[in-house]
Amino acid sequence: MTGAGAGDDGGSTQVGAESGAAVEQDDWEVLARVGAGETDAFAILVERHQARLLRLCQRLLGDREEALDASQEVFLKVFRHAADAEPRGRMFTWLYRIAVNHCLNRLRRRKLVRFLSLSGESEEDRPLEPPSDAADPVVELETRERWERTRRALAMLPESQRTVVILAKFEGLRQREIAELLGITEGAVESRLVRALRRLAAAQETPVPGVLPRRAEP
Amino acid sequence: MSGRDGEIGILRRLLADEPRSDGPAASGHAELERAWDDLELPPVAPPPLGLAGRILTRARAERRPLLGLPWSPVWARAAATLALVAGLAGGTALGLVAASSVPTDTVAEQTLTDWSSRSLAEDYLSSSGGLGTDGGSTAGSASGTTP
Repeated sequence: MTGAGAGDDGGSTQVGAESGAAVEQDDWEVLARVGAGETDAFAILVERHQARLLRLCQRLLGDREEALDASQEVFLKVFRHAADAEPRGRMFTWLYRIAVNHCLNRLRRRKLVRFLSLSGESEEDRPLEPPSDAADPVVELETRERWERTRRALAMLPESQRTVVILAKFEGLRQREIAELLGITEGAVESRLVRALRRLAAAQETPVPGVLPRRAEP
Repeated sequence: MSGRDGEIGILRRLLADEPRSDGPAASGHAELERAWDDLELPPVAPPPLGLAGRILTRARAERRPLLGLPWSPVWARAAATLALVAGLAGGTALGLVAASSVPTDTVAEQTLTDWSSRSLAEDYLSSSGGLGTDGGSTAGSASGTTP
């Protein structure tokens, strides 16, 4: 695994630079030490992986605060299973698998709560966005519109397709890695991704109230 | 973006594979690729300072002995099961002892036996003031007085 595709935060770049067989091996060794009772060694794993896990959780959940909670819970799960974890494959795959399952469970619970409370997502639920890098206000506006379009388009995808798109596009995982992580075949990953892209392509053509349509290619 | 080549690579591989299974859709590849390129989300802020510390604090709290006893789910479950079995056994024994100490010839049973051995007519006659001791004739005259 090379570093996460969306290297948009400092943490992932640092992790990307560190990645490699030696670090992976070291990860499992550190986890074994944690399992043997050396609690403080867990800090090494948390520092090394927190940025990527937080980013993944935020992409999947779409909410910063919830992602912070979720990433903490994921690390605690890892901590509890430190003693019986089998060093198989790469540590990040194992961590990502736990994180993806945890976030999907949270989304299902959230959906149930929304259904029971008969309320949909309100404007207030929308996360505060950081400013884009653009200096030009027009470009800034366009960037924000693109973010909003993407968010809406992703929201209308079925959960299984959305997860694959996020892992492939925003986490930069390869097909084989996604398949391993989700416990599906590479063919299933392909199929989900292509179906998702077809839906996204159709959605991006559909004008949304309050969102500028995609600018036509020359 | 460092992984951009990888991202596009995965899509290109997908798109390159697609015509084999779906020939007529080949013209839509550019559309799919554009959909892929248009996907953009705001950057995620790095973890707040202290997140790792909070996680470690919670982890330490989980491993800390509870009330000075070595905490273990097996120990807790075994103790809870023992307490439950002991409670059930104690309760049953107490119930049996209590049942054996109660005399069977209770007042309630005596009353029940007396009541069931007397007839309804005798009960009526005795309660209506002893209108006679000889059952048949007295009963007849008594019935004559009733409206």
